[in-house]
Amino acid sequence: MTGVDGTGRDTAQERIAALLADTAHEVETGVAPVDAVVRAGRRRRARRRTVAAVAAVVLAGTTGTLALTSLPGGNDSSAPAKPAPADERRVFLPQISQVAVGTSGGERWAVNVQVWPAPHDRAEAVKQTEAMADWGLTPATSGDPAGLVGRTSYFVIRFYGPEGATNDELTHRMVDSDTTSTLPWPKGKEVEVLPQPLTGEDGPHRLVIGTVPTTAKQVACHWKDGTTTLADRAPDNTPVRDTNAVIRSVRGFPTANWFACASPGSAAYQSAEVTE
Amino acid sequence: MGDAKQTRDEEFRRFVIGRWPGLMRTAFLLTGDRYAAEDLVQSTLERAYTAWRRVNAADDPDAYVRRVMINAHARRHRRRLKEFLAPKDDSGPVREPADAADPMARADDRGALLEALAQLPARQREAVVLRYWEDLTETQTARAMGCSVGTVKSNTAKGIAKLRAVPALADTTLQGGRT
Repeated sequence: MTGVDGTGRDTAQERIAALLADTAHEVETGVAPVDAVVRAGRRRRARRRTVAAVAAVVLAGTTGTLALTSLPGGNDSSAPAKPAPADERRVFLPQISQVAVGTSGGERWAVNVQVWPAPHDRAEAVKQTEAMADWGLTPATSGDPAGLVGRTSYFVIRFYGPEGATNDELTHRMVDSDTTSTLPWPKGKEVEVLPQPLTGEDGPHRLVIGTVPTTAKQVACHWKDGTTTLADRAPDNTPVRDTNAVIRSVRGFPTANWFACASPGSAAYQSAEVTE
Repeated sequence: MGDAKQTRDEEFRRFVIGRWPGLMRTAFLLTGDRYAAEDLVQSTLERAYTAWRRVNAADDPDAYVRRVMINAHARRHRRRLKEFLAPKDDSGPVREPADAADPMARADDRGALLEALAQLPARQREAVVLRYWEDLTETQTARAMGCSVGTVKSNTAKGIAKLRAVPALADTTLQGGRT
């Protein structure tokens, strides 16, 4: 019973088509949620504009703080790191903090940390996954949005590009990410480091990004040529300025502060320690 | 400026109302789950909203939206469907041949189809749904999937062959069950 009809489909194919139609018509489509779609579409468009604004901030360097504070996500990198109240949770927008910005050999570099608050339920998690996708981010889960429920996601991103580059020419690279119910919580003088090339894909690890306890006031970054760079804790509510080393709080990340050290020369990373 | 924006919003709203049922049905076949279908259609339309000026100006806005939906599906639903519909126990009861006039039997057929679709790789599922439910030509399907006509042919043929190999569907498709 597999004869071919005038459309070139055989009987079996026609019956599969009929069964597909039968199955499709069985689903209850409900009323189109027009208002919800329009509202979400507007939010999505706003997020896209935010992405462009963040890229602009990285290149803008020292003017970054002013621009960041105007972002819809409330991404004031110099604000104290404390969790937002439950009723103000921005599950669908990341909290972005710029840890450091600098210039080295005619190239700009910067380090951002994005923190996405924990969704309360699956519906929130699905929408958060979509929002992350708009930012080009994939959470560190199995792929099922349910894995995000009750977990905070954070992404550490480094940016680099020529000093006069346009936003489109800016390159960004994911340094680290995690989706976790317990954020890293270093104690005493513990330091976690993520050595990276300062600019470009490869080359010596001239950039060190890491976490330290919130009590740490100074980190010493030692380079292989014997030199040392000191990163001091920047007070909250101070502008992000060009630097080669700094410790900063990160919004949505109350358990640790982040630091970045850039090697002043061509030497690569050797070690880092909390000195104060 | 404000009037133009309002007009665009109105056009978009009319588009959503008009296309929602059809998009939901296609999304249901792609995802196998009504709520996942709603998520897929809603996020597709949200994306369409952000580019509505371009979508509306396109020769075929439906083709544009379909492409967005297939892309979104490919990205989001590949793993989920198998988890949702995969048989928990392969040694379960053998499906009896269905009776065309029996509503329960027809529901069984639909279940078997969804289960069989869930076992297809995402690209084969997309090709089968677009060709056999949306009734698109191979060229239109290729455009929606962002691939060549040859890839569509190959994915469709493999998908259909696998569906035919499912005993429960063979009962339906080869024994003259229902039309």
